[in-house]
Amino acid sequence: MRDVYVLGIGQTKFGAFPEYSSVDQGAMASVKAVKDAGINAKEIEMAYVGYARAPSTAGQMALIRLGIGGIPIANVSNACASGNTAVHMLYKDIATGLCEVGIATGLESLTEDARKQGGKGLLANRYDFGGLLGLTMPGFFSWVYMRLIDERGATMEDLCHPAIKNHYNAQFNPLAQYNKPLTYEQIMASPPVVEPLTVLQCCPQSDGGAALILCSEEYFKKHNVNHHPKIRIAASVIHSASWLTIQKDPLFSTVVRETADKAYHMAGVDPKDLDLAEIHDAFSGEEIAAYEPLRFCPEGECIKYTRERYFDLKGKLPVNPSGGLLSLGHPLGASGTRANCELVRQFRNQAGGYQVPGARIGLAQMLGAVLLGGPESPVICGIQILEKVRS
Amino acid sequence: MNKQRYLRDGIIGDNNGTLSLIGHLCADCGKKSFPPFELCPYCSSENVKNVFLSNEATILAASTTRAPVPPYKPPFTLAMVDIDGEIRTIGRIEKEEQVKIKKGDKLTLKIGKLYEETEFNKQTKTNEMIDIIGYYFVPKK
Repeated sequence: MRDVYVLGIGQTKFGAFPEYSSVDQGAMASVKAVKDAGINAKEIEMAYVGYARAPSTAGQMALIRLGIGGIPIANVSNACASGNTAVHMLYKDIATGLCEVGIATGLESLTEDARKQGGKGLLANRYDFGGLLGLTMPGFFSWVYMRLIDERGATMEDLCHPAIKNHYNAQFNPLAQYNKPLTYEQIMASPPVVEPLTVLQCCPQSDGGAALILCSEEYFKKHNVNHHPKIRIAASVIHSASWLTIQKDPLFSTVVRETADKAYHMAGVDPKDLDLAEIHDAFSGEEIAAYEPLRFCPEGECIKYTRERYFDLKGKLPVNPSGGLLSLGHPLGASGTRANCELVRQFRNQAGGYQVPGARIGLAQMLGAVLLGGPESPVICGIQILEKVRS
Repeated sequence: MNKQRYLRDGIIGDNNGTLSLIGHLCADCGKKSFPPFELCPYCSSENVKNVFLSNEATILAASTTRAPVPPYKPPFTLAMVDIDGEIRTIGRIEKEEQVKIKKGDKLTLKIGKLYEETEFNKQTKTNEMIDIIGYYFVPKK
């Protein structure tokens, strides 16, 4: 195995854009990534494209517009972890010497998807046992809320804090869907979805694309014409739930813990070394529930750390400084690549108002499933740890 | 009377005159699972046989959905429940809205209609209503 580096990143503005298709989003993000890398798109030897709901050859459809063809292109689908999966597949190919340079793109248009689906109401998958009973994503996470209230003494003020924090952060992010801070009162006054979750504790349905150009060390040395700092993929892990983990308490995600431990081990990084993290915060309380399994705080102390504002922009470990899914937006397949782009932006000191000073080591995590926690819907966790190499 | 169809084949059966849920018991690892799959989801053994599950369950967490989830109309309550102390699954809870439920509350399993579906009958060339029969829980008195 050899080291893999990030040569370029590209991301579209997230939001609701009925004028663009999912393929448009992928093409736009990929063009930006190629330009940022400073290479000709024809250099690309391998491509992985992640999405959850776009057409089944969306990757080829997006990349042909850049003149990328005649190479292996594989579309990967792992729900919200699709983007991390695209990064992971490309990482493996470069690490094992199959290719020198490639692109990992995530894309989605939930506006396009909503047009296909038609109708109103929450999405429940009719082919999943939980979906047949009316279980939805906010339905599952309402149980996580109940467990945090019962076992960790969480209050609604605590559980809404990630939404408040991430909306605050997003006002500094020009690519975010929402740019205005929110108050607790506004969150609680928004319409109820699944008690105690209200609309403003849920991430929006979004459109967007994000892409990374990854390469070998040799390729980086030869082609880094834009003089980017050297950023290494220190760990990349994709991990799926087992039946045993599905049968456990939603209070503490065993899948997230197992994935995180594999990633820390692979990177040789202690959780205390992290300067920031971009994680799956589809629901406000979900972010809090992730702190312990990710080892951002000791077991049992997620509420204490939340109250100490440990994960705020100016805290010891800023989580979702970009605004996260809650306010940056969540175009499913693009979120995993976006989280990785976000770390790179921080390491390059290009994050503007949400810059974490001196950021050098970061973690990007997404969690995906058709229905988290349903008996037939195992969760997939994807984690990358990126590290800026000291010059 | 409408035609009836189970939510899914193979999950409900007649246990000495009472309709019950069917799970799998693995002869190799000894664990019970629900719904029944092709192999034991714990140890991948083929040595699984159908067993009837208890008609009693305990709530781990429950919540009320306030938005429509077709074919269900709000409000409705769903819970993560434990059956037989070893199967953690999900179920709908039928109750009066003012009845509060919480972790540790005991439930009784019922088999009955969850919703109706319209289906086109190719022979009669008419739409007919089908009752979808599944399981739900009621708070134990």
